[in-house]
Amino acid sequence: MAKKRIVVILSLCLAALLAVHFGITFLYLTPDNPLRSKHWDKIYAYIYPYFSQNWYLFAPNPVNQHQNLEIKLKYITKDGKETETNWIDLTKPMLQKLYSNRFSPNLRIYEFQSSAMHTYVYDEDEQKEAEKNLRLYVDYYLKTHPKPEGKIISYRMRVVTNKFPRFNERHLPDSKGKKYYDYSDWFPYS
Amino acid sequence: MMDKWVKMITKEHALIGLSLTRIFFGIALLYELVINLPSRHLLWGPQGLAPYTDYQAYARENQFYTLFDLSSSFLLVDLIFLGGIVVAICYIIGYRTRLMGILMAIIVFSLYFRNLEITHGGDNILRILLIYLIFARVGAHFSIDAYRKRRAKEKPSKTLFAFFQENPTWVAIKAVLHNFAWFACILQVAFLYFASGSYKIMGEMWQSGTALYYASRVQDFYTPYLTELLWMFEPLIVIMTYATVIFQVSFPFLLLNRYTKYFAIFSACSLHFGIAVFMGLADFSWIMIGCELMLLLDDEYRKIHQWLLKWIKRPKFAQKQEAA
Repeated sequence: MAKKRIVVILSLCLAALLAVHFGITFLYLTPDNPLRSKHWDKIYAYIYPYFSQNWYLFAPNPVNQHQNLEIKLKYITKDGKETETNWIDLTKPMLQKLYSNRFSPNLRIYEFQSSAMHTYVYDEDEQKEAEKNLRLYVDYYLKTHPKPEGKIISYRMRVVTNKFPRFNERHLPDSKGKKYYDYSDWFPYS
Repeated sequence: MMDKWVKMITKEHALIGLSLTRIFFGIALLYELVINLPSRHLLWGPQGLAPYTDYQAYARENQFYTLFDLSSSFLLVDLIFLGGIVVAICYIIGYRTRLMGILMAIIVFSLYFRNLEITHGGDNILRILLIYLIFARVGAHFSIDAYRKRRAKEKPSKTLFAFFQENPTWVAIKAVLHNFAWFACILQVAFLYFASGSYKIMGEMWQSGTALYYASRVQDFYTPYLTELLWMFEPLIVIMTYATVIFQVSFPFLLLNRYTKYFAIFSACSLHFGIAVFMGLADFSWIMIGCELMLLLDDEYRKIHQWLLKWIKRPKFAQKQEAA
């Protein structure tokens, strides 16, 4: 008899717990509404970090442009002249590697730069943070890839956003897309 | 009525399905750790793309701790990776499953929050479900634990621990916890699909039936040759775009009936298989298919098993085997 009572009480408690838990989760996931914004601090404090979640998967619209990270280096050649390189695309070679093998650590590394670029261009509040991440990535790139001969003194980044052809013109190549550029300042490099 | 209800809630449900989910989740973590072994310091290391001081400031601000708070050394990253590989293997084969489940949850949580920039939806659902699964018995099948338990039953021990373990009240409590943990997992997965589907309804590309084109053309998810093939069939793009949204929004409701549930599982697996092949998101899809596996009840798995046995043993198939 005691067993039955324990089972019933425990079940009711757990049912109540799940109802509250998923009620809060529901409000956490809804778009902004009066109830949510009124209690947002409490909702966030409960959900974050253990049950935080984001299901904007290809939503509300899928990403519909390419973004490439490019850098320009300023360096001093052996005979002491200050020179600039052309824009170097850091994203394209990474993608080529990914197309030939998706099962590699490159997938997460690619995700890092892609996420930083997106934030850099579209999220004004987080732009400084994103720029920092892009610079970390450039540092890693310069450490691990061949550089021009001479001493690099500074670099500049730009994110190339390419709105590739829309659905009705889907037979057109990427090069026919509309391009937008976001430039960073020059940063010293040593 | 009450007795029937108590009987139902004290019987552990979906033991086979949850064991399969366990194996899928274990493989998911094992895969991530092994494949990212060469880049572990770059992505999770103290002087990598997510500097340690930034991580610590963020963690303190949000009041949480991960394994990475133990030390800022490179060695800790190596230990977490090697330990994680061992834990994942033990979880897959079901050795000390409950303990390994807790460690799995801690490791996935730690890796997730150490570098938030590189996480995706698969990591997110895995991280949450592993917390619920701590309370479920996910080692009842296909596990070393189950094998050892069967052997132990042949020669029962008389220790105090065994007495406590076999106490009917304790067994009942564990069963109730198991069932609610399983239910929480299903609810969480239903929330995922419903939220993801209803956000899509708000986007004009999903409304105009062309979202699939954009999602597959963007270079992150583009697959050479295969994707162009997809674009050639306009009706296919439109139908698949709408089908995705309708499926995602209706997923929770499809689970309410036995036969529509089968349809939901079939649709989900097709969707994720498609995403894996056409968009290169294999690890995300693997985890999602792992989630679907817990939706079938033990009776349903036994039926599938019998059906498969019958199919293999049917005369025509047996003859072909002999001929070969």
